[in-house]
Amino acid sequence: MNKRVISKIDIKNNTLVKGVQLEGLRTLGNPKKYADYYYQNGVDEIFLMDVVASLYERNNIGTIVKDIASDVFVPITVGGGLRSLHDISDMLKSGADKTAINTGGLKNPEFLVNAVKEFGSSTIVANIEVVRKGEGSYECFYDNGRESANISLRRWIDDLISIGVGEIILTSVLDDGMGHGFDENILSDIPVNLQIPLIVHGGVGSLNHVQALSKNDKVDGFAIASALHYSAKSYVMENTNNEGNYAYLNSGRVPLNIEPLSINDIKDIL
Amino acid sequence: MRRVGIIDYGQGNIFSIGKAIQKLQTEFVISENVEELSSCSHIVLPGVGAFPSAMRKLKERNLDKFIVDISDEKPIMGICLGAQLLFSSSTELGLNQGLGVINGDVVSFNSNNVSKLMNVGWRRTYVNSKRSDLALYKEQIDKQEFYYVHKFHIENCDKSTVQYLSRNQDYEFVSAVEYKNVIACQFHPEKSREQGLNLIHKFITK
Repeated sequence: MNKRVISKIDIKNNTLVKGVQLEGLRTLGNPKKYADYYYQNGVDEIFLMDVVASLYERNNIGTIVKDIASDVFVPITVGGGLRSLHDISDMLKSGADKTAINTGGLKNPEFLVNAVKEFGSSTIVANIEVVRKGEGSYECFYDNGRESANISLRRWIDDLISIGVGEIILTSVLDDGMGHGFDENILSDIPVNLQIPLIVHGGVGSLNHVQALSKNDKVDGFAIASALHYSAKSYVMENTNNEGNYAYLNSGRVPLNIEPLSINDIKDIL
Repeated sequence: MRRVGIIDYGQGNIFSIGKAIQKLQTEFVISENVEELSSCSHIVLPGVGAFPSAMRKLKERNLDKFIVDISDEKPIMGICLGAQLLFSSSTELGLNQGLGVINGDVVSFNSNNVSKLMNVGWRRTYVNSKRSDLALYKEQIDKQEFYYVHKFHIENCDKSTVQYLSRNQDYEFVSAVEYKNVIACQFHPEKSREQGLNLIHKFITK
């Protein structure tokens, strides 16, 4: 069974952004253009994240989801600041197929329980932001990697399994945007008999980093941002009507350690 | 006139299905109202979520009877949970009766056969050689990859139906069923790229 390739699109103020360790956001342009490009190039799924929604307790990603869902016919997962059943149903109405929840679930696990009951396991994805705390110990964070929830990765995964979420996206905060590979040690905290899919996110900067996990049975897919975004660059710039901020792309720079990757190349090794 | 009625009983990604039908430039309506749905030429029964609450919500809106009544007259496409609801029973959260439009049961994947009970991702789908000569959608479904996300699947399906098969790891399961006017798909055609849109197009133009 082929592991999935998921393009992760972070959004702030209607613009695609990308940070390093979830901070220091760079503006890369119109998210819809990127989503179109990934769809045309064979991506398995799209993961849209409103990166400031949870911090500011607001949601305004709905129109972007609607726009993207009109032309992209692969599953779309939407996350960022979802904290009520109403928020989830709003996203589904905009064209999301699954919703990713982190902060809302850590602050109020009962919300996750109700979400699974109302919308079913397959609609509810747990997004875990994990940070290494000393030797072999990992802790869960919220508010886009800013605050510790004081709960270990192992315990939170156990909780999520008993709550009945349908899937887990594991974001390694310290690897995000670094392009030095995903911290494989985190996977030792994942139970071998996990019965739901696990997607890893954070750190992919070259094909070797995908290759390193391509035979790992615990990993069902990769969510990738920077390495895909810089491969989409020329398409996005050719198809823009000068809307949005392209100063960074125009500069022609690519962050250190990031090798732009095509979806095809990634799929070839999976 | 051709008009697709998407049954809205308060569960699932119904708007994704609307987007797909919109892309095919066909008129559609999303509704829970029996009268409005009766005026449609084609019916889509979507659904994500749990079987018992879906059945309850259908009953509350008299949609259970509506679906059974029209199943002899109008083309119906069931998707994911919507496909499962068309069968006789499901064991999700206890034994529950389904709509019984097609004889068959809905059961969970079993950890004796698969390590991941949630089957998520793109899987190649094949027509079962038995009765494949009767298949209406063979060209659209056979050997194509579709997107699946589910834990329960169809079993003990009526032998007179045309069946399609797919695999969760090495475990083979019934992934789509054709019976009279009905096509029941465990996968999500509305989320399965061009091949999914082709299948919906064939259903709409049938």
